[in-house]
Amino acid sequence: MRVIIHLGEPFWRAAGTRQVELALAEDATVAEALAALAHTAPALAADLAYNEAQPLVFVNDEAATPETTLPPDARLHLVWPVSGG
Amino acid sequence: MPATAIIDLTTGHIDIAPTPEHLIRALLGGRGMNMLYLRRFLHAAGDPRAVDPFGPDNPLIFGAGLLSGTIAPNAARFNVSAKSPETLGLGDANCGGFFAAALRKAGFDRLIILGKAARPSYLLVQDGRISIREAEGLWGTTVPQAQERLRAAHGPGTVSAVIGPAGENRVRMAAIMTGLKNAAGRCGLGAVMGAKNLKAIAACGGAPIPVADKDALRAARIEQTNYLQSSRVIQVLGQLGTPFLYEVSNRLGAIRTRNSQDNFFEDTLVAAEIAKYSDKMLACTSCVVHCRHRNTLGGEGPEYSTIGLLGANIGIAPTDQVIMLNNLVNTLGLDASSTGTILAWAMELYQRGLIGDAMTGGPLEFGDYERVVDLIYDIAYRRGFGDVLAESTQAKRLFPPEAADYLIAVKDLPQSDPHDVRYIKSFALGLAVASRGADHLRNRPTLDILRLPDEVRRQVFGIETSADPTAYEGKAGMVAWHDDIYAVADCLGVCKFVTHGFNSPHLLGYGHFAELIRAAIGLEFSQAELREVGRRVVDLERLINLELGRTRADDTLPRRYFEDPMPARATQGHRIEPDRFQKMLDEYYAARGWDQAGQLPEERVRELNHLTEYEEGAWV
Repeated sequence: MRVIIHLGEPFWRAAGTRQVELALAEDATVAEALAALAHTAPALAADLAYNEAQPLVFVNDEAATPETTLPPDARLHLVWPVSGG
Repeated sequence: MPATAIIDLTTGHIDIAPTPEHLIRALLGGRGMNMLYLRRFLHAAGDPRAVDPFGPDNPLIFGAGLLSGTIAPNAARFNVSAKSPETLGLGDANCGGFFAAALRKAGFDRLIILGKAARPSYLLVQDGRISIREAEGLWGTTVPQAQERLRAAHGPGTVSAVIGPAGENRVRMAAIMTGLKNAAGRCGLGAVMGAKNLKAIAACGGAPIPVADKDALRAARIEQTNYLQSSRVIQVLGQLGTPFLYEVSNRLGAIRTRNSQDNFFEDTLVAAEIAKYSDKMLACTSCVVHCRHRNTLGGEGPEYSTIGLLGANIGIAPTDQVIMLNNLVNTLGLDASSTGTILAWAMELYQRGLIGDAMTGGPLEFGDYERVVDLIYDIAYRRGFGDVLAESTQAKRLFPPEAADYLIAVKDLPQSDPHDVRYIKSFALGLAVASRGADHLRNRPTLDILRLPDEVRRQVFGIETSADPTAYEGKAGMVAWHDDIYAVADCLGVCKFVTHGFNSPHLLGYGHFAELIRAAIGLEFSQAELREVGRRVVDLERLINLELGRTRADDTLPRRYFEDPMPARATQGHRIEPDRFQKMLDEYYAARGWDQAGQLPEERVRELNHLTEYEEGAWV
C-alpha cells in the first residue's frame, strides 16, 4: 500500500524534501514505515534512531505509536518531540 | 563576595553591603534571593496585601544569578521581582541577554529599589558605585532610543535595563527590556519601574567577576559545553531557534488559536518561514546554544511564544506581520505574551457582543493587522480603548462579569506560552500551581510528550510516573520535580534550554551545577542540597502568595480548559476534568509536603521566617 510521510523540522532538511512517498506491505506499522523511510533517505537515519527522543508521529492527524497499524493511503507527519519554549 | 545595594529613590540614600554567605547557601542568588528580599520588604511596609504595586513601598529587585556573568554555560540571566500590578500577587520575571553580566562586572549582584524619584531618573551603576541621575532626554523615548542614548552617554559597553512608553504609562503588562528583544516581561514589572519614575538602569565597568578556581571553571565549561552540544535538541535550537516549536504544537492541535476557540492555525508561521526574515542567530552571555534570531525587519526574534500569541491567537497569519508586531511590542516595552492574550480576549468579547463599538471605538476582529497595530500603540500610550486593555487582566473590572469566562489566565497572569494545555495534563497542573500565575517556565514537564520508557522516567524523576501525556495519574510528582530544578536554574542564572529535563533528559543537572558552583564560588553543595534549595525557593514563593491572600482556589485554570473540549486534530475532545484535576492538585500538595489547603508545614514557615527576618539597620 502507498503512504505519504510529511517531514517536519529538522527532518526535511536532512532529507532534502518535505514529503516522501513509500510503498509498504498491507498492515504495516509506524515502526516499519520509519525503517523504510530511513532506508529510502539514509541522511535521516541518525535522527530517526536518535536515542535522545523519538519523533512524534501523527497518522491522519491522530497521535500514533510505533505499534500503530497504518491504513491504506495514510498520511504521516513526523515532528521533533519538543514542547517547551 | 557579591554585593547587594538598596537604593531609596525618595531620599537618594544608597546602602551597599556584601551578600551574606548563609543566604547564598540557603537560596544561591537570582530568583531565590530576590524572593527573600521581596518578602522582607513587603513585611517592612506593613501588610503585604495593602502594598500598592505602584506605591513607593513596593520593592523592585534586580538580582543576577549566582553564576551569571561567569563562563559557566548559559549563565546569563537575572530576575526582577516585586508585587505585580498585573496580578496583585507575587511578581517575578526572568531575563537573558547581557545585563546580568554587566551588573556583576559593575560590582553588584542585586539592586533593591525602594521609594519614588521626584523626577524621571535613571541609575548609573559603574565600578562599584551607584548614582541616581536625571533622565533628561530619556523619558518619553522608546526602548531602542533609550538604550542608544545611554550608550552614547556612558560608552559603547554600557548595558541597560530600560522601560519604554508602556512602563512610563504604568501599563500593567509593561516589560523591562535589556536589548532589542531580551525582556523581563512577565507580571508588568516595567510599570512598577515607571511608577518609581525610573526609566533605566545603566551598567558599565569592566572589573572581572571574581572566580574561586579559574582553571576548574574553565575545565567544567569545556566539558559541559561538549556534553550540551552533543544534544540534538541543542543543535536544532541553535539552527532554528524556538520558532521550530510552533510546528509541533500546531500539528498536535495544541496551538492557542483565536483565544483558544480553535487549536490549530496556518503553516505560514513555521520555522522555515520565520527563517526567511532572519539574517543571523544571536546569543546571550556565555551561551552555547545561540537561539535568538536577528530579523531583517529591524528587530530580534520572534520567539515561539510571540509567534503563537501575536499570530495564531489573534488570527494573524502573514509571517512579516507577526514579526512586525513582535518588533513593535519590544520597541514600546510591552510583554508579548500578555499583549497577545489580552488582545485575543478582547476580540472574543467583541465577537460575542459582550463589549461593543461604544467601548472599543470600532470593529475588533481577529486577523485585523492594522487594527492590532493601532491598538498596541494605544495600549502603550493609554489612549482610547487601549487605556482599558492597558489594565491587562484587571480590565475584568471594566467588562461585564461573564467576560472573565473567556480570559486565558491563572492568578490573573495571562498564559505565557501558546500551548493549549487541555491535552497534556501535567502542563495544565503546572500552569495552575506556578507561583507567578499561568506560566510554563516555573515547572513545565516538557519530557512528558516523549513517552519515554519506564526505566528512563524512573531514572530522571526518581518516582513512578505515567508515560501517557493525557493521563492524570503520576503527574503531580513530575511537576514538583520540575518546580525544584527550574528554581535552582533561576537562582544560578542558567537558561532553561540547558537545564536537565527541559526538552531533553541529557542536559545540565544538579551534579553539573554543583561542579560549577564549586569552581566559581568555592562553595560545596551536594546534589540533594541543591534540590533542597529549589524546594525552599518554591516554599518561600508559596508563603509570599499565601500572605498576599492566595488560596487553593487560585490554583486553578481558565474556565475554557475545564468546560470546552479541544475542537480538532489529535487533541480533539480533550479537556481538563475538574474532579480529576482536584485529585491531581491533592497529589501535588502532598508531593510538596503542603497540607490539602496548600499551607506549608509550621517548621518550614519558622525556617523561612528566620531567613527573612528584618532588623532595622541590618537590612541584608
